[in-house]
Amino acid sequence: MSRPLNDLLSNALNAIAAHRDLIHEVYSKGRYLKNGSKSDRDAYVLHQNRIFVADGRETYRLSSFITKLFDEITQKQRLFELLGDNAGAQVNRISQLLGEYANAVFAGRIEDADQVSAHFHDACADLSDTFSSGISKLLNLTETNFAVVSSIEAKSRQNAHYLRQAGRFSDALESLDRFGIEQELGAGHCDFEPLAISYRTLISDRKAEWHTEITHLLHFFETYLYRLRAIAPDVKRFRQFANFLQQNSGYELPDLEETHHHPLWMMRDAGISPVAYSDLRDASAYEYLREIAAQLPAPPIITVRERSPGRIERSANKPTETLKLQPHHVALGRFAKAASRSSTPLSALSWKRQNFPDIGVPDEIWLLLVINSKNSHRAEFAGLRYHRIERRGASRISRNLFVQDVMVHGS
Amino acid sequence: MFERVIFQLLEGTFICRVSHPDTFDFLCDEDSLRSVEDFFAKIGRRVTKTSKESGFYLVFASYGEQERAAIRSNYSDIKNNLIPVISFFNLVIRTTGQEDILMYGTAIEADTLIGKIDQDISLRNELQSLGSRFRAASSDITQRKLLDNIFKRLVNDGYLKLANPERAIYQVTSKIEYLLDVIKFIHETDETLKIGDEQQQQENETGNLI
Repeated sequence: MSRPLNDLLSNALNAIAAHRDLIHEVYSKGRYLKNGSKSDRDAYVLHQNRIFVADGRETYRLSSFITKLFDEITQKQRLFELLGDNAGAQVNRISQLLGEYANAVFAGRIEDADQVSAHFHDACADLSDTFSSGISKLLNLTETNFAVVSSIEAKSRQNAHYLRQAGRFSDALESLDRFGIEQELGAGHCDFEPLAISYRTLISDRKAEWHTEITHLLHFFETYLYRLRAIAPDVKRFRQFANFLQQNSGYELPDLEETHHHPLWMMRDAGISPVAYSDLRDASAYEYLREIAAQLPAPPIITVRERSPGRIERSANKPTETLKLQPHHVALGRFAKAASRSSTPLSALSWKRQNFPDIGVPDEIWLLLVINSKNSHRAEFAGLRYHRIERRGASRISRNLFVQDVMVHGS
Repeated sequence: MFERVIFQLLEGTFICRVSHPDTFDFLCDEDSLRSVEDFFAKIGRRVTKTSKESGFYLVFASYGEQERAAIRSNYSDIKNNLIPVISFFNLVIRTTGQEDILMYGTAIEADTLIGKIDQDISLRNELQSLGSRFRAASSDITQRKLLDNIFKRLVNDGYLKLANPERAIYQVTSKIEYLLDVIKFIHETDETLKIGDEQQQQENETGNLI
């Protein structure tokens, strides 16, 4: 007497869980070879549960269904896979089951009709799965460009095969329309409602998406096959030439420029670097140029120290001294001059905003520079008078003083 | 866009979907292409496609006295740079086995490449000698740094595009088709190579007999 279905299933699932490392190893290596260890017993248990298949007396391999499932999960690529071959037969099956259901309903065999309905649902699910997984694998191939093989010839063969597989999917989609399953389900000859729901959710609703993807795949495979075939002679020539270069390391390309035939590649214009200058007469560009100029570092000023007569030059290596003036130094100097000439106290902030708005120095720093200039020994700051406009912090207990502006004027 | 295309072509750039997707799309439009061609016709140049039609570049419209000097200079550059570039792509083919590396758009993963080169002493030596040819090697440089320098050089020369800086994935541009055209021409015209081919064929035939 056969054991209940649930027992078989739970045993198989337990075996998979208990021996997952062994299953992983056999999936990776391809087979298990008996070696007299404890693993032989585990392999036997897996064989009893149809997870492993005996492959001769001493070897086991993973059941092809499980291998296929793992390939699906890991998106492993194999050579010349049959992805769309089954799709046409599955469409036929759906059509046959539809006829069978109608017969059962017309004959009043309700139980048979229920059973056929369940099988119809499974058939639709199978077809949907074939399409989804097949298309997913084909899309993966387009992304990896048949990475499982390396030579151009092998890639061409793979491409031609998968072009046919994509064509099979396309044919299967067409036959779905040709059989007119949708029309039959909607014709109302008998109660097709349970079948129509399965068909609509599993197939009809996804047909447009499959159609788009298959059209894309067909286009890719055709284009890529064309490209592979076009490049094949070039690759062969390239490898020959590269081998020749390896064997003849002293080889130099011949002088060809005097040849009468000028192929297109030889006529290439290797290019120039166009340079353009600003039109300084154009007043509209002035503001823009000023912004650029403000951001440029000041040019170094080189002063040559004249050696006074009768003195030996001790630092022969350093005849010049380089001074770099930053834009804010220039601004500060000009502000000092303006303040010394001004009859009334001059606001440091207003002057800066008016004369050097794009200097790149924030107002706070500018005020700090002006305050510090008081202690500098530069001639232009000598004799200037400074008056700070301050305010106390907003808090009642704050002792912070904020300088809002500095008024400067000559003595 | 018109301006960008004009400047890119004038600078000698190869424009393809990998290297300059925006300007490539612009040139794929017939009207836009015509307007660009009209502009270049006035300065004695025209826009052409690479042999497999994956990219655009600028050529002289005629072969006159003025163009001859530029063409000679261009060929001189090719003479100096072609062999290192061929050696690089040959190294990639030998290391990864992927012949489709010579197809425009193919990706090269620098990490995978250096991983495989590290495992093989002959490939390591080949990379070292390639580094010297590219003048990218120095005494204390690591293999990885050397490879990065070569990649950088090929990106500058327009053969590769850094497609993913984080994962160091490069993509081959349409300039590869220009390189293959040059090789084809040299193969067809240089007698030395024909003798080499005959020798190779003889060796193969002898090998078959044995």
